[in-house]
Amino acid sequence: MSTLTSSSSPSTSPRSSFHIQRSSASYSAPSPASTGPSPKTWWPISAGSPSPRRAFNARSALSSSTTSSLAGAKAPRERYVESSSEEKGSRYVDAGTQYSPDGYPPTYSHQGNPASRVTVLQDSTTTLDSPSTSKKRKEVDPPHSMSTSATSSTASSGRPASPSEPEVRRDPSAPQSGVLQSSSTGPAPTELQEARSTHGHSSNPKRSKPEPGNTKVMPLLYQNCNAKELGQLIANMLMELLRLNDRIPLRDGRLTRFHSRAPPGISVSDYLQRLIHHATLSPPILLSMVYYIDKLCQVYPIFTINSLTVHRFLITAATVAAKGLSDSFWTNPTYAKIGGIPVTELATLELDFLEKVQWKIVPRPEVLEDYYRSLVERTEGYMLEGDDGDSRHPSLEGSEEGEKNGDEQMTDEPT
Amino acid sequence: MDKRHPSSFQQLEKLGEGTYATVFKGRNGSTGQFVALKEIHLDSEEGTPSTAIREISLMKELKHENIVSLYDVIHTENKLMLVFEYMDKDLKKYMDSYQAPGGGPRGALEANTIKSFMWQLLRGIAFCHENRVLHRDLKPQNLLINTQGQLKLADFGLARAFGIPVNTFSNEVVTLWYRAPDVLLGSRTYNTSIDIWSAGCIMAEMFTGRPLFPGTTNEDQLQKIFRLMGTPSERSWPGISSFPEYKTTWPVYATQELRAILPQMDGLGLQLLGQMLQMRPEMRCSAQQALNHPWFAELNQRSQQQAAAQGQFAPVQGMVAGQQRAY
Repeated sequence: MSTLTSSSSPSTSPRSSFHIQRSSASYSAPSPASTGPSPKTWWPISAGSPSPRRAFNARSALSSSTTSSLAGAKAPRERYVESSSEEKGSRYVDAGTQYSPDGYPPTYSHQGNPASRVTVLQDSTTTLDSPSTSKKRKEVDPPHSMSTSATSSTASSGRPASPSEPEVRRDPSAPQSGVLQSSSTGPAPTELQEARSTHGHSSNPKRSKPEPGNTKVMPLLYQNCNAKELGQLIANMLMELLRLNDRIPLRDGRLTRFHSRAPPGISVSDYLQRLIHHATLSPPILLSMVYYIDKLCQVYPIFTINSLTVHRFLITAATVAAKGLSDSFWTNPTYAKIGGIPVTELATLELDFLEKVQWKIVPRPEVLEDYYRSLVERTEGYMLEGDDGDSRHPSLEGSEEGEKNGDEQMTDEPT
Repeated sequence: MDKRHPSSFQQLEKLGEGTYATVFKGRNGSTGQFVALKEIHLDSEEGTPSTAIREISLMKELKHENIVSLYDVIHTENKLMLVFEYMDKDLKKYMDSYQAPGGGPRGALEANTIKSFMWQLLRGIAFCHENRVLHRDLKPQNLLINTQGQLKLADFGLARAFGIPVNTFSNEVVTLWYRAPDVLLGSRTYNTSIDIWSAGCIMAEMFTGRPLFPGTTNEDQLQKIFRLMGTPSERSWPGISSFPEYKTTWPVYATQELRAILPQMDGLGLQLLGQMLQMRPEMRCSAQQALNHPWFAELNQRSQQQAAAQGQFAPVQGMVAGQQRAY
């Protein structure tokens, strides 16, 4: 298992000691870790392919944005094909869900015959699953006891496939330093405990006062901040969670619907930025998603945020937050395309999530303020406006503009 | 989620059909208690309807005697079944079937009934607002009445939490006849005052038996409002010209006295109605202010006496008591 600690993209490098190690319970080995050698092949969205239904909630104004997001996904799909042939052999990883139907062992996987694979490829709205042969599938379906160090070393030698969204993301070209290596330099938790909270106040405070020149000032009110910058803070926090939780080996019986077979080949940061951009997630929605991490971990003990669960968690949380809290939201097929999972799976994940948290998805406003402050304060190089005078953040304008665009693109909820 | 099963409820007659759900009367097999079963079809394409997500997530938190109780949510293969407290009829049907003993127009209720219903309606609204929820679809069809004369708010499918600054508000909310002028003018920054406007419309309707502003279109709705309240101008409503739907071609109507169209109302009632039916949202009274109006003096006094009689055992209502923020 690997994390993206040495990515070339600045957005993926954790720049702080934001460190979450409040472990709510002592699960000895609760968290799923790697499923195998993991060249990061992200099969994004498959959204580029024609799909029978892609209507948004309603209006025609949306169609332009539809096409743009679909067009964005087209290229990656082609690239995917290239990389798959390039990396023929052991490269291929199935990032489909690991969740097995009841009655099947957790390692159960569809060993599709070639014919069915073709179907999957054609109906690419339903493919996060990659079309590996059964032989390859075996390679990526190792016993879960496989050591994480072996995984990470394999992974670090692998070149990731190209990401799906050139317009939003930079290529996570070198995201593969093994988590063990990289984390050995960082503060290590005393024992392998899950990080089950996004919030731990017991953890390391910011190492030092940020140097004045390099400090980014975030607006005091989170609704005024730039969604993409907030996304970076959240991605940094998630990376810390992954670093801790990925070290805990996966055990059978601890799989959730949120588990991928292997870490999808798109970094958390890139994935989150992709959702922010294409699903027009606003700061309140983003902070609600962070709140949902804690909420879900609290009521669902076998769930942790790790490299296998984070992607499905994020797209599910984004869908639920937007539909439940905002008057403008996209339809599920759109969220599914943006998130790179089949729409039927999104429906299942959405309902699973809602039932797990007992439908209590409305955060108290003060809670979101706390999360925001905590995210800013604990990330090195960031500070809240007003903590050193009153400088308005330069990106404020951009944020407002983005908000406006979002307004135009999205439909109102029908009455 | 759990092992509860829809078959533990006996499904009786259909009570109504909405845009996203069908409501049946049901009976709990083990207790015999009547319930209302709201069935929501689940489509794997749409996922869980946003109306269902809102209704369930908000009603799970809003426990109040003037808000219909959501007992349970049962998930079967392709539908969600919401189990609600059973109420006998909605206010619309109640009015339609009511004929005052002393004559008068059909549908018009008696003053004491209206006062009790308005008090309960405002208590329900106040509780929503204290808990930072806008109902956004108050109308007689969504107010349920039981045989004990209790009134409860129902149908939170259009409701939303307003504490979180998700700043896109839809202006396609509230059934046209009960929609506040600022929303009709295209406002997307409305707040709790839109529910108060609806409550005012409902109050007048209970006195006359007819909707106060039965408009046919957005524009017609505004005109009907202006005919009674007077056509607003920059002078009477500073900033009105910046609303999206502002028109310089509106016919100019003078403000009428509410008394002229509601002669059956007493002075205090008219005064309260006037405070709710203010054109400018910031001029409308809050639900709590309305409850404190002298028109309700007797009801408030009685309720205080009851609370005192129950001593400290009076039920503590409220999901986040002490956490409320002033708006």
